Amino acid sequence: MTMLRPDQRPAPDVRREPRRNGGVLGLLAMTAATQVRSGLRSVEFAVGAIAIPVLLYAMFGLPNASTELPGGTRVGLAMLVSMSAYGVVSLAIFAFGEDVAKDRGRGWIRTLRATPYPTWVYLAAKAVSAVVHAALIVVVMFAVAATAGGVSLDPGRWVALAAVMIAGVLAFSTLGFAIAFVARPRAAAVIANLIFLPLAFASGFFIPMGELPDVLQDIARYLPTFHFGRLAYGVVMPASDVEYWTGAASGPVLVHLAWVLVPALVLGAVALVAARREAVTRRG
Amino acid sequence: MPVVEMRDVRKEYAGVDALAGLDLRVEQGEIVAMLGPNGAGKTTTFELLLGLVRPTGGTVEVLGRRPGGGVRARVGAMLQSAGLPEQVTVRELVRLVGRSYPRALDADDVLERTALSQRAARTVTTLSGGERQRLLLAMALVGAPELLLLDEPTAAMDVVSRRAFWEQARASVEEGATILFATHDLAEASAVADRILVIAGGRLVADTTADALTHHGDDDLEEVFLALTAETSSAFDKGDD
Repeated sequence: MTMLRPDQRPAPDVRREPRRNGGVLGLLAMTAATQVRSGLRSVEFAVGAIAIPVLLYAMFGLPNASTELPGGTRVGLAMLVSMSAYGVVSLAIFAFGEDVAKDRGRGWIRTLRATPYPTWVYLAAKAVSAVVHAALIVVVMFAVAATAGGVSLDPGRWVALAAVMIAGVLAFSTLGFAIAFVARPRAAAVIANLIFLPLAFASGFFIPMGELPDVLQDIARYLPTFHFGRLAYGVVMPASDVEYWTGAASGPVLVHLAWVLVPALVLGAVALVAARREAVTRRG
Repeated sequence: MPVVEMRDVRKEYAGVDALAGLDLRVEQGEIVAMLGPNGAGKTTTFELLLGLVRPTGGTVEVLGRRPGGGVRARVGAMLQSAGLPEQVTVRELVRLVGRSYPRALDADDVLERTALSQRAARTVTTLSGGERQRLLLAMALVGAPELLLLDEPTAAMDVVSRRAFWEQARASVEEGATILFATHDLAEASAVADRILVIAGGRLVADTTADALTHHGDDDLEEVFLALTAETSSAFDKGDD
């Protein structure tokens, strides 16, 4: 191979002087912004995260939107909560589980580990970008429900429901992380589906719990997604309608919260141990 | 002080010795090629130098310190197994990686240097193999590293891209960097490197120049390489490193 002689090589110019960078928060913000833009470029995100919940709402919610439950809640509102919960739990499991597993499988996380880039920033940015994406899902769902489903709420209730949904994406993110780091990358998508679809179905996101078989209603009481739904319904529906819709007596909010948060913490610990084990032992 | 120093380094994976007492040293400002058959231990050497794996025994020092941790801020790397996220643009990636270093070059300048300015707004999925390699080089250069560790960096490149690649790498050396690269291309090693290290069976079997290796061109480089590595390894016996 012939190399250029020194006099033929490009002369260094002043722009090659490196500039000092800011702190880790700036890196986190830049990473999150990049991940948000990356998600919005993805057809899978537009279809999987936004279009499917809207479509399901149109199929299952709109036909009976004006029907009222005994306490006066319109079915359109109850289904809005169900499908929004479906959307954010789906986002949490797939954005963290499938996407992180893909990045892991294709070697992106390992590539970052060869730079000064802290892995925790990548994971924290995933959480920030998921919150932004969840907010987008919630806004679209609310807009469809308000315009096509005739759902009407006080501004404070809209905000409270949105806050619960966005908190939900963070709570279920640890399940996604656990899938991403415990499962083999190629198996992560299958495992995420195997976990998510039964969870969503048995928690009454597709059809009201009261219409599910007794055995599923019994199982649902042990599912964090069911308790997440209970918390969300409770924000916008009276207790009597929550009980009617979910087929179960209401418990204290703290109990539902514990059913969501304790598994989230346990799964977060599992994900951390698995990620650390991989960082220490993985070869090639 | 050497930029890279490995003394009697051993690395074992599940009972198999990837490195079996490797000694090597790279001085500041050198371009050093590492040659060796598949399974010789080249990739393992890079992983150790980046702190991605720990040695089973021996001492590894990069810029006078243990690899990994803070020393990564002074090293740029192209891994053979490097992966990239799909829906991120070329400019976004270079900026992002640059932002992780304490000091970084202007991303657009680095893209210009690596002939990627025209691809800056494209996502990674639209790049050719050679463009992808140039992007990995841009990511390695953007932190203005003192040491560049390049594992088979030109594997997917055509002749023109390969030449441009090495011009940029050379420019970095003129600005003070040191390069250690692995390759299977003997001609490339001979043309680019100041010094050639041949490793086989996890050990250093030659530390010399291309000129000395071929007795000033009298011997065929490929024959010399085969003779050096034949006794200690077999690509089919050991598989990829």
